[in-house]
Amino acid sequence: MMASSYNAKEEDGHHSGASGPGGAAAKSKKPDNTAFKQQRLPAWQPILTAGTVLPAFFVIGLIFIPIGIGLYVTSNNIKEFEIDYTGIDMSSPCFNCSQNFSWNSTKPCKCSLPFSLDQPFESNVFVYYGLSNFYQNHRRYVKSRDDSQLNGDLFSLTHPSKECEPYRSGSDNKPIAPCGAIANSMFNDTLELYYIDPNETRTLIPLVKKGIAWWTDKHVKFRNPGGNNSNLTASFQGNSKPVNWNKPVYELDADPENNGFINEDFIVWMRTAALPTFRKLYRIIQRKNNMTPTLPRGNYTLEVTYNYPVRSFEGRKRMILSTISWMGGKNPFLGIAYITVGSVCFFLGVVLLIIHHKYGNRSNNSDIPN
Amino acid sequence: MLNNSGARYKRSKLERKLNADVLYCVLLLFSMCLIGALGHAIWLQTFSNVPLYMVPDSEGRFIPPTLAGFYMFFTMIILLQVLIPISLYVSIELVKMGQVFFITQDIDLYHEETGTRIQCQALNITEDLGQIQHVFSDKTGTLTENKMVFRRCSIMRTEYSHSENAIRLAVLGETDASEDEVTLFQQQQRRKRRQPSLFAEDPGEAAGHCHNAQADVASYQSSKVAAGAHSELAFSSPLETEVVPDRKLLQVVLEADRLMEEGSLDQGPNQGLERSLYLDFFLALAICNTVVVSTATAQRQRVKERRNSYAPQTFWGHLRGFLKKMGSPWSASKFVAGKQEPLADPFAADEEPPDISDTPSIYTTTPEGGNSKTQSEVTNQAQRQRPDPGPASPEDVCYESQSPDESALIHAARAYGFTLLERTPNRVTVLLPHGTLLSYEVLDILTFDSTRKRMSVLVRHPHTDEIILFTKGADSAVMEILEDPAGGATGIEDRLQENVPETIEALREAGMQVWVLTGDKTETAVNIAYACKLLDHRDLVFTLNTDNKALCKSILENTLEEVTRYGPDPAFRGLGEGFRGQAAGDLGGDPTIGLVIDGRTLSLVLEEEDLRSKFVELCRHCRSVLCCRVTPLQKSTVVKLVRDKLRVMTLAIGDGANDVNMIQAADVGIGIFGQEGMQAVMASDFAISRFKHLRRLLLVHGHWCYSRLSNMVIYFFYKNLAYVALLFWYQFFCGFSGTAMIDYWLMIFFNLFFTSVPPIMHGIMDQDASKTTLLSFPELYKIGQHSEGYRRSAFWIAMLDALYQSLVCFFIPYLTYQGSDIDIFSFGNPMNTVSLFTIILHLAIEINAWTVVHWVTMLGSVLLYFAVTLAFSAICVTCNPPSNPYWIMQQQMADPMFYLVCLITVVVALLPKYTLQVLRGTLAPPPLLFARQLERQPPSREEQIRIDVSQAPPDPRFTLSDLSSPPPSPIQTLPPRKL
Repeated sequence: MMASSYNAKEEDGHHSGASGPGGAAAKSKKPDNTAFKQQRLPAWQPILTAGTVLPAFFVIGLIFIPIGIGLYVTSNNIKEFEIDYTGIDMSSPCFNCSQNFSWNSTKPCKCSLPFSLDQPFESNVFVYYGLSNFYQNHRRYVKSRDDSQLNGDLFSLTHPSKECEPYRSGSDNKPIAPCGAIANSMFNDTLELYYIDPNETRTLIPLVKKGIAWWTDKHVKFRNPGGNNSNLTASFQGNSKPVNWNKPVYELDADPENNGFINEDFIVWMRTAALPTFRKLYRIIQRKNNMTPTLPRGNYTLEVTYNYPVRSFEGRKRMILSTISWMGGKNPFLGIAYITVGSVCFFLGVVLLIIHHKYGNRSNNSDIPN
Repeated sequence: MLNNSGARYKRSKLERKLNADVLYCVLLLFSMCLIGALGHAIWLQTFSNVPLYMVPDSEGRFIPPTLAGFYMFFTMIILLQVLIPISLYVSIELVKMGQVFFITQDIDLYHEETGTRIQCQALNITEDLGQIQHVFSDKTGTLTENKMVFRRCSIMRTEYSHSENAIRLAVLGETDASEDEVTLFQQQQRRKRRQPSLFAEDPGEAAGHCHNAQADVASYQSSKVAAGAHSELAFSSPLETEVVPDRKLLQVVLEADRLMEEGSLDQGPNQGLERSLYLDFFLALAICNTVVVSTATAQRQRVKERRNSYAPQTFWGHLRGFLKKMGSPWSASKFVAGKQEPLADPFAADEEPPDISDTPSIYTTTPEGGNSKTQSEVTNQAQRQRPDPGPASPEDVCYESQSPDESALIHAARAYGFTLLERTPNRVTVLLPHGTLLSYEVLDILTFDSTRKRMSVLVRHPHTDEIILFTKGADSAVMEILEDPAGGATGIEDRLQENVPETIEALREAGMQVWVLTGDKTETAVNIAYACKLLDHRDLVFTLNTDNKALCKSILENTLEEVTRYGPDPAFRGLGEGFRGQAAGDLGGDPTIGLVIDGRTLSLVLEEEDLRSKFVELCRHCRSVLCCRVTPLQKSTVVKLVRDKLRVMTLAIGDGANDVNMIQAADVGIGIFGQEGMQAVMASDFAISRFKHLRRLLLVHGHWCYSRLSNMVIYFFYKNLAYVALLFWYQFFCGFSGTAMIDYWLMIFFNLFFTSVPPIMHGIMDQDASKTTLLSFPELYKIGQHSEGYRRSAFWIAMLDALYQSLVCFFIPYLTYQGSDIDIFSFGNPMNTVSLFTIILHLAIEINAWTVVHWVTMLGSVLLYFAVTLAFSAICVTCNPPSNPYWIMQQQMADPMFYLVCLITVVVALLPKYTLQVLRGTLAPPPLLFARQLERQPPSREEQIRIDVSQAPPDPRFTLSDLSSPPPSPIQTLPPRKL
């Protein structure tokens, strides 16, 4: 009896003794011999020397120069015409309008500027208004809007965001729609173009006012409260118009597709410009047919209903006519930049080639120190 | 544990420098904000009326321009605060975690025998490993194994050389070295050979075992021996337990023992005394120690089993330790002194007094009040038989000793049949060769301490009731107090660890000064210094050893004068020279200087400020410095002195409690898992198992960590400025009103997600040179030493580059979109995008080795950017006013101009950096690039070059240059084409 129990004990001891080292072996602390853990992952080790990067420089040069030329030519083919109608000069037809200004003047001030185009504008012509020295990117200005309200949110319609202060509620204590400084300062000049044909008859050039805003803005981001087909007058019943406006938002346009928050002029204005000198798309002159140019060369008159004051900030107002290409408006910069950079790269490539021939071999053999 | 003062908070050198640069960033931020504030105030003042776009506050008033400018200052701080690289600190921590992970995962820093990896206790000073300039090393247990091997002894002027034992060790070593495989003994054989003290005296048989050992190689080869049993068998490694007795001595001892048992020891007065002294010698070995005997009859079986299963592994492990150690002709001796006998002066040259923490080693037996002649009686016959019913059988005893030399000695005694069977607080039992059991009553034990430098055991002889004092101690300590010279001495060898000379040489080639600080006495220390190539025979070695302060001063001055005649200040040897002119500097010209200073002199030197400066000045000229007989406190004082006076990065490495001070004083403390407990390991920043690991740890991991981290830090500064400056440039076009043209979520994401992973990955994984390159060109380490990776100039160049790039990233889109109908966030979107590409590609230029991980993180970041931005632009119809990003990215990506702008901007932004990098790589390749170019040269090409250079037919043995010796790394061997 004694013996057996002793044996059992012995067995026990033996067991633990044997399993001890076995267990230790199983959870050995030896690190895994894997490429990752041993930092032996196959690696590509580029060495930047003249010889190895030469092709890169030539390739950049060879790609950039044609691109640059293409851009430059494209830009040069764009026809652009610009006219300043601010009326700073005494001689300017708009001088008078620029002097007496009131947001709420009942009688609009009109002025007309004659101009002539030297070249015909062939394809669709985009009419822009341009403002200078207008800091639409001022921090407090930029945030002075309520996107929810503009998206048709009914709560925001009656409770505009605090960001809209102090253009949040009107003098009648009704919430303003659209609220905020951006909407409040909306550009409100009206521009009309007349073609003066050789026998002095004025022809009004039809300006298309739809399709000037981003599609997504017009259809997704901006919505009238209660849906775009509702009665806007009723929807904006409880709201006050922005202080500087002379008509409420639901009277921006007669076309219900272009009224209220989804008025494209309004949408365009609400996309605040990045730089203090900017242009905004105003209208499009659509090409009639392939036979006649959209705007033939000749004399024109710009009729301005002068509402928008820019004197306070020494701003300028311009009207711009421009054809457009795949690269947008006229800007020779990028083309020149591409040509320049391409040339520089090509030149560097040549320099490196010389260096490579003079020193490249040295660095590979004879320079080995000993 | 008491010595462990808890986790220390160390700031690495790099981080200290980095903090200064963060300050520059703060200054830069403030000046930007100031410009913004002033600009805003001035801009406001230009208007005579309130402009249309000015938004009054909620009460409809406008604040005056000066106040507006004042407010703008804070608005700007909020806008530009990214410039302060808070994310940098987080990233640094992450990177260091990754670095530590890879260090601990390095299989070459894994010690197979003990199953220990490197331990990184300090997580925040990895890059300091790459900047070490001074290495302070302990000797015992650090350079050496601290596994004592009984090599010889001398009793009464007769030296017993134990040549068979030496042969045994030599054979084992050879086997190991020649095969580089594992030699294992059967436990059976070991057991047999543990008993030969009595029955297997035949030297032929012993030699036969050795032969067998070689024959067994085939059946026991293994390189994957599981480890783990080390602690269980502390100090009982085969090296210590296996002692082949000296034949002559064994005969004498057995004879003496036999005579004693027969009671005839007293016959010849002289001879009897001599014989009894032989017995005393071994009794002293067996008794005079603090070894704990672990054995119990009931557990006998179990113990046996366990030992059987453990021993081969452990044994193999210790055998590996022999690698290349047999070549070092160094041995230390320990003395055993008997009172009445004249001094035998056996190995004056190679005696080894212990490190202060070591156990003492001279023995005296001092019979008090009795005559030593009659100290033994024959015990009764019953006890002569195997003492099975007694405390234990000799085969079962296991010794657990405090220090390895105690263990070596007790196993030596056992080999001669003097087996310590039992130790209780008041009794020790010894089994004599012929089976006699002697049970001494222990009256007192005077344990070892560093002032007395010896230990004594006071016992009462069981039969004669004599009171005997056995003393062992350091030779100096024991010699001093003995009126008569000692009669017995033991020679114990402590081997050099494997690859120590190579490691020291590599560290030195890497520009590090290696100092050895030891508690040992001068002769021993000098011997080991030569053995481990710390000192070279061509070296000019100065020895400072004096008690006199004035003398010390004059010696110091004279030496300094003499030393300064040799060569220029070594500290000014630049990297370039170090790399190219290695041969000229170190091999050809002036002799290098070594300095040996002993503890007493050192304490004199340390007393006075003037002397300290002179000493440091002198040390600066020395290639190696050896401090002997120093106390732990002195060790740390020396480290601090050098660290503070020379302003160098110091590393201290040690294994014992006596090194704790030094380890804590140094910038980087390294502990070695040794035979002396865990104090050093606990106090250290990194703990390794072998000294040779230091080489890989510093030259490879240190270099990597440093270059990775310094690159990453500079990159972070660059990145933050490059991005923030974009916003700053925009202020000039928005009336300094604090507008951001980039959606602020995207701004946050930009730093947090889009551009954070690649630099962190770069900081963890980049390799500016491969392991093999770094090991074969130790000179590359100097990059870190001279802090060349992270210089103030590099910081400013990066900042200028960032400014340039931000200008490009801002103004090319600006000029492109100028005057057009673009809106703010459509204007910012290409800028954000080109910044992302520029910043990512800037890193791509910096990356030295592209692995899968690099590709994944780089491409992943770009894809993530587009995915997030597109998703955000698509989903966010009314959210996040005012910077509503709705459909902006989609709109831009449908516009070819966007791509054209991105393309040219990125090219122009990176052109200068890229070109400069190329020119540098071509015209003046830095050593690192050079080494890499050399490394990747195809063999055929090199063959070609060789012909060009040498104008001689290619000779495979001819090395192209003697930049470095081939790496002695056992694991990774260089391809033959390399140097």
